[in-house]
Amino acid sequence: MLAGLDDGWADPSRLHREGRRAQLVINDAKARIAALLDIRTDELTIVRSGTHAVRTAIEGLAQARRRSSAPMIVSTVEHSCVIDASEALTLNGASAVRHLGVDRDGLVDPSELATLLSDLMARADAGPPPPFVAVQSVNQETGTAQPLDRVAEITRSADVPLLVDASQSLGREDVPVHWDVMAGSAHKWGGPAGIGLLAIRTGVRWRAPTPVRGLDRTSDGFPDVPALLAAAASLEQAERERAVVRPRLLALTDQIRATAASIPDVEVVGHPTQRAAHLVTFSCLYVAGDAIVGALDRIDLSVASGSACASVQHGPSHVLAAMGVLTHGNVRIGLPADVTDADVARLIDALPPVVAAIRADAGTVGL
Amino acid sequence: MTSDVVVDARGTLCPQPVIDLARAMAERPSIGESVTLLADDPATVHDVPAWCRMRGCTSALTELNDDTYQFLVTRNSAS
Repeated sequence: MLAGLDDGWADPSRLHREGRRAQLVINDAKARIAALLDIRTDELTIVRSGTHAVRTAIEGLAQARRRSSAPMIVSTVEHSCVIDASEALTLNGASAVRHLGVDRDGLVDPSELATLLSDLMARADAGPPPPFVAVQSVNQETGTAQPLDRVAEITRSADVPLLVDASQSLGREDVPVHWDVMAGSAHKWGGPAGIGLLAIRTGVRWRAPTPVRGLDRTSDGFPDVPALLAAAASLEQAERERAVVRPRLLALTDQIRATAASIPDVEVVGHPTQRAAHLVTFSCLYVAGDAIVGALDRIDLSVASGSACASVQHGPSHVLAAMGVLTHGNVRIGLPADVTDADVARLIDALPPVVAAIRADAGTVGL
Repeated sequence: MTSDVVVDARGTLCPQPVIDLARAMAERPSIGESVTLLADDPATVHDVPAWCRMRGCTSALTELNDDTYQFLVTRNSAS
């Protein structure tokens, strides 16, 4: 990062020595990230956040197929920034959004997608194919990993670009290979905030929503060079350590899942095996999510809640709603790579009595 | 379609409407017994069917004009 401050402060588009040095630093960091993603450097754009990467991806895909009246196809469990960016476009005259549902485990059904696409293309007034299909790599609330290989087979044969939001999986799970446009966010793999990744494979129908003269087609202005270097270094570290970290986290989350499932009327949410190693989510009947979060916080265990009660202004979690599971009493646990076995053991010990105590207080035992 | 037994959980947030529903249904253990639940927390749209799945009941939702959700909950299996 200090090298970024020493060598990366100048305007990289200028031809003076400092500018050229900054450009070298940027190119080096991009090349290192691109190598980890197994893409060419010119297929990678650095933007200011994961949200911005998603927006730019979606706007560019819609722009490239602006004559298509077919809908954008978005899974119901995408991060809200994917859903919001798609729906915002419809206000400006783009085609509608068609939602692709999920099952109780949160998985999309590739054959449902195939049917949807063939129905769209069979219509008498069928114009160009849909601008894109958006299916994430791993869900942000449940950890469920989508069958991207089978989804990509279908989108490829229908000539529809596949947008994969890989924010939750980069640095933690295998780098996705089945995608046409991919978005990521450095702070999700333990890197700095303010660095988003937008990867667009060569030849994909994507057009810069607001072209900037004199800059390359995907430019988002000059990146924060020290943060970019930190993003590259932290992704390299995460990838280096993944072979050791991932099995360990998987075993720990398996323990948490088993403990949660053993508590009466607690449903562990998300697919039991097709999942990211670091995430666990469960819903406790008759319990307010923030009551559990508060009780665990008092013994120095930090967890999150995606439950309706914890975020009334946002309404219930659209992910849990799409899966048809309880939206209240929801607890989401994301394990950092350096979590200790002792911390997880403490959580496992605390969980059953915490849930039982909240239910006893509310007088819901036996209901 | 409504039941004679009406549980009014309007003004409360989940899990309270589901708890109120569970209390009313606990007094109605026989197959075919039903309760009408009124609620205005949007989470009930998801949580009442999920509760019914866990407790052997079914629910039918009617959205009333004044932002109220009306559920007819019927027991399918003895508790």
